[in-house]
Amino acid sequence: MAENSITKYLPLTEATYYILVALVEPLHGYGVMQKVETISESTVTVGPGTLYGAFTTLEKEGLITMVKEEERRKSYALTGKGKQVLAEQIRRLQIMARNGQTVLPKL
Amino acid sequence: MNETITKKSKWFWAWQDDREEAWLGEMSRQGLHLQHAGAFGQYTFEQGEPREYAYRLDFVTESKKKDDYYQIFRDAGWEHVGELMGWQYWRKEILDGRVPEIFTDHASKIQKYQRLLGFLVVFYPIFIIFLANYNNRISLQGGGFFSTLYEILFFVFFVVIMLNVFSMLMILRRITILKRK
Repeated sequence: MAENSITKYLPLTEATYYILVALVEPLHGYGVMQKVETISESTVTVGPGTLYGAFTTLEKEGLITMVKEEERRKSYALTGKGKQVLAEQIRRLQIMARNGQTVLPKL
Repeated sequence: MNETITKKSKWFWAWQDDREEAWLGEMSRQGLHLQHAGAFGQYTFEQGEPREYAYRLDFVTESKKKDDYYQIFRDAGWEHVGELMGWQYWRKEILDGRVPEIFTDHASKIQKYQRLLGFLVVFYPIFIIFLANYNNRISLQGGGFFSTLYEILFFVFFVVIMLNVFSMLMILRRITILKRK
């Protein structure tokens, strides 16, 4: 049962995955956008409309929580549940990447 | 002093937001930059140098609107240039041919249309009350003037209802297309 409460959020979309990765440290909206752009090596861009919607959804799902509000900027961070979901997603991605590595030379 | 202001009339339906965005971008390329979006397709433009702007429309109604919503967009370099019945008009300059987007995935675009549908659905109880009262009109018959007035009102209202239904169908169609992508 506890397992299911984590796996129902998986797989994360690419954008959601990077937003959660960015939120291992508290960040406000624009901070998340910049960090995602950087760590994804510009493969993923998150627009403000998409990010605002993602914040709303992820907060409702209890994966992130608001930790600070300053000058109309809300900062969010991962919750315990959010960390669990992200960790499980990373574990699955590692399996995928390992599988990918073994077939890559044959392609 | 008002020489720099130009007004234009152009009608777009609720499901034609992308056409409206393209048209506003075209206006800016001609040096007409949106200053105000008014009711019934009344647009006010400020004349200036032609510029490459991307205009993007979001749909967020009054109750959901919060300060942090605007702040996220502004931090990302978007300028809020208008607001009409929940429609939020945003623009950002196109630099080096890179067209900026406020929605960068299908899921968030779908959510925008779902918010729009939620807004249109609110009118349905009013429609139902109105239609349910149509039968009562029969008792007014023979009332001459009032009866005719009611017939006219009924017709106008009926057209509004049909437009609402049609808008919802067109928006649902857009959602379906986005989901298939």
